[in-house]
Order: sequence, then structure tokens, then C-alpha cells
Amino acid sequence: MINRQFIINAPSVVSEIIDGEVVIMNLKSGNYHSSLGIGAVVWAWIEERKSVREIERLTSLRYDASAEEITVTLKAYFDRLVDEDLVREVAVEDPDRANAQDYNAYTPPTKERYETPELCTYTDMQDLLLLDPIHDVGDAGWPKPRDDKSAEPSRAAKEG
Amino acid sequence: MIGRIANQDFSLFGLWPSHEQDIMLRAAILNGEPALAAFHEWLGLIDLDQDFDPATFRLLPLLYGNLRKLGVTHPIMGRLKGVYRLTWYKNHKLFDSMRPVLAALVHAGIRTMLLKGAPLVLKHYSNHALRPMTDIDVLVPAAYAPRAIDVLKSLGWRPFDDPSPDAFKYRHALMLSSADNREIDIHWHCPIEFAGSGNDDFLWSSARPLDFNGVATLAPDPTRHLIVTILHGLRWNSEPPIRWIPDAMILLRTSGGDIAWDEFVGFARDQQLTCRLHLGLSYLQNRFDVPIPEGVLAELQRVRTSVIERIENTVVLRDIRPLYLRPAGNLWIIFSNYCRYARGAGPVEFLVGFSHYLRFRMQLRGRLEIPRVIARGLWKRLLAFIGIWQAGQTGRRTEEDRTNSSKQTGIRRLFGRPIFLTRSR
Repeated sequence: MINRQFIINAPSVVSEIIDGEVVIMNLKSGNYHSSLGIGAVVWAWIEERKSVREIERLTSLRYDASAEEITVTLKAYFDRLVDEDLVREVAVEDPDRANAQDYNAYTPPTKERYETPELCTYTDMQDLLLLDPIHDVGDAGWPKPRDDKSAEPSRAAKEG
Repeated sequence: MIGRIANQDFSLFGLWPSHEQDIMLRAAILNGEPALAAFHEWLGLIDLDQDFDPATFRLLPLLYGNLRKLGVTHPIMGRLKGVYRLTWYKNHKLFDSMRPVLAALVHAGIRTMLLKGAPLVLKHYSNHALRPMTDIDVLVPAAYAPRAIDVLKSLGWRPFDDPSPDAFKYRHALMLSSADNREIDIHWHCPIEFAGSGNDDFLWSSARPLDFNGVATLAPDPTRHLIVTILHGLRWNSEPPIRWIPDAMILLRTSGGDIAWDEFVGFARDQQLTCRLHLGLSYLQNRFDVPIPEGVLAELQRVRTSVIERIENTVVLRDIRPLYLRPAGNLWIIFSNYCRYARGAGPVEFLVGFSHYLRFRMQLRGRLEIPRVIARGLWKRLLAFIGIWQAGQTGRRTEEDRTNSSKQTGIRRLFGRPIFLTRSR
């Protein structure tokens, strides 16, 4: 059985998961990305080389959402990752691992609330790097500028 | 001088952390309850609306990393996490931009070893976010230093200083910068105390392999890395250079079992650096309960501090700003640097060598200029004192004269500009 899998574009893409948030950097473009919650969990599964079917299955076990919603929103998330050149898709031989594997470890006693995974992309790094990461930022910290700073036109935080 | 510092309670500002920095270091380094207690004490000492001093600022990612490990939830954590993210981004960017430079040096057949931050980040912190860096330090064999600089120049890097034969002889490193304001330090001697000593095999002989973003290079072994970290950090600076403390701690935590303490002590004794290395280890043990094997500190203390180290420490372990205000003070700084440089030389070689060294540090064309420059300085000083004395005698001292003769501005005003103001790099 042929299945789809996404592979991180290392070494030009580096990432780290910090407290439920994945931060990703594309060294070629210099762009900085971040994703919270489910987006970070899915990124970790991509790092573990899980196939798309496995990720969908794991998501449905862990989160409270319909299979259709999961499929549609994950596809949009994967598309964003591909668009930003963070991952590439490959075809893999998969003898239905998604059903055969023991996923009890991933199954919580009660399912968590599902939120659409989103990728925040920051492209205007020259400006962001000039921010004082203590005084020019809000409580969420760099790279999100303080409210009165975010109006500056040169700073672009593209979210999607 | 030495004994006074060694017996102090690590309180000389500029050499040891300030109280606030000390508390912050404890929060960033220690485990469990002591770290939490230090964090809460630190919060009471700081004003978030004010700027942090640069040394403290550089430790914020480490503080965040430790507090995160301890499960701290506090409103300040968001901003600390932001500093952590920013450091992660900048270090990845720096390493990525330096990869072709290192690859070019390797391609040119030059052995390279990364010093200071890069090997610490890659081998010991094992995390790009914990230790901010602004440049990369690369050690090359002394014989290859001119070629290494040529390679960098061919890539568009500009040397900060003229890489003259004198510079290769008397200095230990040269900074170069790129068009996009990146910096790289090419070292041909390390630590700085080895300039002129011919002991360069010290680091090369036991270097460990290091993968720098796909480029095969070298890193110092933990014992030598610890020595270099303490020697580099434990120097008086108007901004206390406190980063050496977590660096030394991470070396001891990740490679403590690999530290060859007998080699450490042997190096300190042979290179006449027992006092500073003893001070550094004592500090780590006293403030952070670092387990130093029994006997190491006693052995370092037992060795009599050499004359050279005593002279050197009058410059390295004290606030040297007053020395810079006087020509004689500047001369003393140069002399102390030279004592380290020329240790092992016979009396004649020492004296002759000093005249060459003085010419280099005073940026003169030849040694014959030295007496003339000194005589000119003394003459100006004499004239100035005569002028002041005459003014006092005739009672014609104006307010301006009194200001001129005040201690704060005296020597600098009288000389026009200090003649020996060539600061050690």
C-alpha cells in the first residue's frame, strides 16, 4: 500500500519544540515560523516520520473532532508547510501501519478539544531582529511586538 | 595584591558578579528550590521597565531554560521565552552564515578549531537557544594564520587591524568583519596568555572532532576548554564578564568525568597561572557547590605564585581604569603584558625584546623613537607643573587653572593625549 509522508527539509530547515510551541526556521529564506498546540504536535509526528494516514489516525484518537474536519484542516496545514518550503512530500510503502500500530500511548482518557493547526510566518526579520525582546514586545514575547508597536507598517506578521 | 584578592569574598565589581547578577546566576544555574528562591529574590531586585546590563541580558535565555525545566509559571516567562526564541534564531542564522567561511578554510588545507561559544553551544549546551553569540572564534595553527586571513579576505571579510608581521608575532588573534556586519575572530594562539610562548600544541594535541553544520572541524577537549573558559572570563572588565560562570558550569556538568584534573593542575603550575585558576575554581565551588576533587584546590594554592603572575594579576585582577589615566600606568599595563609574553627569556633577551614590544604597542616606526616620545611626555609634564606652580606663586590662578590642575583631568589635560594609551586587546 502506498501512503503519503512529509519529510522536513533538513538541513536548511531547523526547528525546536518549546513548551507546546514549535519554532521553525528556514535558513534559505531566513523566515521564522511558529505553531502552537496541535500544530506543534503534528510537527513532532512529522519529525518521527509518521505517514499522513498515521497522523490523521493519531489526531482522531487524541482530539475531539470528526474525521472529515481533521482531514481537511490537516491538509491545509500540510499545504502551508509545503508552501513555505519547510517539508516535502514523499510516497512511502505503508502496510497500513496506521491501523496495525499500538497507539494506546497517544490515547488520552478524555479527548482534547480540537483547534485547527495554524502556522504563523514572520518574513520581515530585519525589523523583528531590532526589537528589544523585553521592552518592545507584549507578554507573549518576541517576535510578537507590543500592541503599540505592531502598527508599524514595516513589520509584517503573516498568519495563516 | 594577589593575596588580597584571593582572600576577598568575591566582591570586587568588574571581576565578580554584582549582587543582582549573582542572584540571577543562581536562578539560571542551580536546581530545584535554591533556583526558585533565587528567581523570586531576583524579581524583587529588578525593574522590568529598565534596561538590563548586557551581561545579565545575555543570561536571560539560560534563565528561561532553567525555569521552564522547573515548571515555573510567571507573567515574565512569556518575555523570557521570547529572548530564548530570539537567541535560537540568531544563533542558527550565525552558524549558517559562518558555515561557508569555515568550509573555505578547511578547503584551503587549514586546520581549524572552534573556540569559546560555538563548541559550547554544539557539544555542551546542546541547544542553540541558551547561549547568545555575536561572533565565531576560530583557532588556526600559528604558521597558517596569514593564509587564513587571506582566505577570509578573498571572501570579502575585512580585518579590523593591519595583519602585519608584528601583529602575528605579538598578538593572539585578529577580528574580521563582513559587509553584513558579521564578525569572526581568527586566533593563532589560545589562550591569550600563550602569545609568544610556543605552547600552541596545548589545544591541538587533544582536540576533539566537531561537526559544525556539516563541516568537520575540531573543539578543545573538556579540560582545556575549562582552563580557557576560566582564564578568558576571569579578567577585570567594567562590565563584569559573568558568562564564563555558566560556561564553566556546563562544561563541568556535561563533561565533569572527563576533566583530567592532574593535567589541569600541571598546566596551571607550568604556565604560572595557579592563582587565577584557583580563584575561578574556588568561586565555582563556593557559590555553586561545584564538586572539585579533593586536593585540586589545595595543590593550586600550595604552588607559590610566580613573579610573572603577580605582575600580570596587578592588571588582570583589578580595576585598571586608574592605570589608563596615567602614562606610567599605561606603561605598567604594557610591561605586565610583556612579562607574560616573554616569560622564560633571559635577562638580555628580555630587555631587548621589551624595546621591540614597546615600539609595537606604542605604534612607533622604530625603537629610536621611544626615548624621544618619553622625553617629550616628561618635558610637557614638567612645563605644565612649572606653569601651575608659577600661577600659584603669583596668585593669578583662575578658576580654569584650578580645574586644569584637579586630579580628575590633570594628566590627560597636561599631556594633550596620553602617550601610552595603546590598550591591550
